Amino acid sequence: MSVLPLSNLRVVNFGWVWVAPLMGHVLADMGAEVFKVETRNRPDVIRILPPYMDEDEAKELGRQPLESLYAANTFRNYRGISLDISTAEGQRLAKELIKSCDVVIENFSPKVMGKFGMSYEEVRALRPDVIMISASAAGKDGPRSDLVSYGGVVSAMAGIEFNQAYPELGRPQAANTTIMDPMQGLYCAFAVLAAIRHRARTGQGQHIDFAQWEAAATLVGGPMMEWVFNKRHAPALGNRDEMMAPHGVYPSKGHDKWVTIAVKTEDEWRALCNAMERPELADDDRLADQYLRQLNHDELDEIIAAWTKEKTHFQVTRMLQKAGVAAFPALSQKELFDDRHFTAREDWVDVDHPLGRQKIYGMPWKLSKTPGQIRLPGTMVGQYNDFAFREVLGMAEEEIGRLAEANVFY
Amino acid sequence: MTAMALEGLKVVEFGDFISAPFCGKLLADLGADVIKVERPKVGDESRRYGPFPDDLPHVDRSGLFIYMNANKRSVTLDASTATGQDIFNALVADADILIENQQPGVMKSLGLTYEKLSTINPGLVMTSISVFGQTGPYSKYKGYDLTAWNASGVAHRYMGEPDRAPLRAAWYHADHWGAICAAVSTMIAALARDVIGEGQHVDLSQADVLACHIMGYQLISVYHMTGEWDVRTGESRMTSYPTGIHPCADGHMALMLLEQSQWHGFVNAMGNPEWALNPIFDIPMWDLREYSEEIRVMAEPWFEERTKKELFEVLQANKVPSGPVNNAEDVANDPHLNARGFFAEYDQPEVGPVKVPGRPFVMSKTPWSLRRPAPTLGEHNVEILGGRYGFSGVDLTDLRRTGII
Repeated sequence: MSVLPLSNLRVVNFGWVWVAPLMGHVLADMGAEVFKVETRNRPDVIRILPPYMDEDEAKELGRQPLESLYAANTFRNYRGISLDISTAEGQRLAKELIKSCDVVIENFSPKVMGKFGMSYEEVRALRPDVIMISASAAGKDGPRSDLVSYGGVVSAMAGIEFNQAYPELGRPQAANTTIMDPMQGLYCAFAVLAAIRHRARTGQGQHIDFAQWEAAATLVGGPMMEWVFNKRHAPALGNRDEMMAPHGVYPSKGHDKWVTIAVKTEDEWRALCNAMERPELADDDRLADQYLRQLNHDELDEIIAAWTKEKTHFQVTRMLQKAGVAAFPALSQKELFDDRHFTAREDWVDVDHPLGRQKIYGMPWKLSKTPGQIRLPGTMVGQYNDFAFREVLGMAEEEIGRLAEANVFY
Repeated sequence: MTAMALEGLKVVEFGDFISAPFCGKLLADLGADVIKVERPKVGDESRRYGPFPDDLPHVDRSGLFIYMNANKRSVTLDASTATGQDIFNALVADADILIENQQPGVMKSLGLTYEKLSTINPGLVMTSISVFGQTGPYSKYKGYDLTAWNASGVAHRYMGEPDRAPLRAAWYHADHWGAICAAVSTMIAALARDVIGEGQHVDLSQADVLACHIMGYQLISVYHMTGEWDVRTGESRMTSYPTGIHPCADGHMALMLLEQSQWHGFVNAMGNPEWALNPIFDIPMWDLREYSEEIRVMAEPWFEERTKKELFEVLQANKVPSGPVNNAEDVANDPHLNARGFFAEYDQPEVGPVKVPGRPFVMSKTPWSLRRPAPTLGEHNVEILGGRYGFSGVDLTDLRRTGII
């Protein structure tokens, strides 16, 4: 078996939903031992989205099912513990656990950890070289630090949706999910990995104040520079591009089937014309370069669509890729999950969960020598209480029993 | 002097436009020493992308290039020549990390594969960013940002209206995904080097990372268990109205409600109109989808009669997750972002004073820093090729004359 490069790290994650769990599993996939802290009173909200693995059991016990399939992916490799940190005893044990942890992750609004006696200053007093990351909407200070928001809102505030629209509809378009959340989780993981390197070299821990609003605002540099230089707003181009032409998503044979085509060079343009059996277009003066093709893009789209809609999206793809043109289907969910390429790259893997076999995503990046490993399926609430409290903290049987009785572990 | 988290990491960046350069920027901004290898005369293609001050194109004045490449040093090199490859090998022999985003087959045709470069430098971490990855049936396929976005399934499922083509995300989003994931996986490999004692190859596919993190998260497990799948449902129908983007008096507001208490806050923000107090609406947000259209008809005028500022204040006061859809001007002037010192302002040669987005996060001990402006094309040929690698002035003149640098 290959080496897991982060196996000397222990992490405790108090975070929720998508950003914080994703950041933690990046570390866990590479060997870190990561605790996920929650309780049945206040489970991570993604646990209560159907479908569930424990629907029948929960019904029998008369309680809310909590093993949502949504938890199968980002809770993998975690060790779930059910500890109520709104209680004094819960806080005491969380602090004991922090003493043995290298990294503390949280994504509450800024004052919450302080209320639990676990602000960075307090955490550092327990563990001087700790790395703590606080991922909030707007950061720990500043006039809007109490911003009430989710990923889909901070991305709009950062200027992203402004440039995301069908030009003919003339309004900003939101995605049907918070695409910004996983990206923020990855951005956070980068921050933590950089801090780990610094600690490995100097022994020094630190606090990372991660404002999702700011991180999102680093992703629209071009429109920002257009404003800074020329006091103008970059237009929303829909499926078109500022440089490449033609550039679009074209209809193909079948219901809701589409194929993308992006042409960057004159060679590619000529190849496209030849593949469409329209070589005369390559000599058409009105389409002779990128600038002219931009000007006549509407007309060009009609010509291309008339050709693509007679073929399947993969027929177009094969013909154009063979000719050296970037074409590929807009894969549907089903096409993606059944696709031989993504399967061959082991993007989807089977895992055995105590409640049944699941399919989840594998390693998103392929490292040749330390690929990482899925050692544990998505954790259930409190599944590793024994490990955390008996083995790591060395607590006695009676005390564990007493705290379970008092619903500190629940 | 303040410590930097990635101080001492030597990086060679051999790539164009956004995915490799933004990855290089993330490393450079935390202290890595990044040498950017560019094609002689034209350089990184973002040098001709713009935007340009007063719309006057100039190889050293492109806004995109400037934003992506501050803190780096530029050398020019024609890697298709034998001498160019020798110089490339010398740069890599001395580096910890190589980041590249060449189209499939290019590195191989240049003789710059991981197999070959790792014999020169066994400690090298080489990160290859591409749309489809280095293996698999589509690995030879050409692709760009649009290709990755759609190949991942995200566009068809999550972006756009069901009766229209799947929509591209704003401003090269898939390229940025590639960059951030490349930075994460490169850092993992850099840390792994201390454990295993050698470097490795990181194969980063933009389609993979989008497919896994977005499509995988929500959907692979459900599809596997139930066989059910879906397509994009259109703007503002993720949960119930008022989740979505709403026209108001001077622009648009973005809202996202997941909890019933947030619906109560929304009703209160509207001043508790009678229609909204109807108990049939007092149900979990997920179930409220059924009444989206009815609610939209009643609530739309409330948005339309108010400004972004008014709406933002009253919605925030009622703890409704909400914010204005900002443009670049709004972002540049935002009091919160400016109070926190988000932006970096400095003098860019050939351009003058500029204000650019700054740190993505605040590290208390090893802060983000902007230490040098974006380089002019080949600005550091003499310093790096002459200084670090010992080419003489005569050599450099010859290299320039022969078009190698």
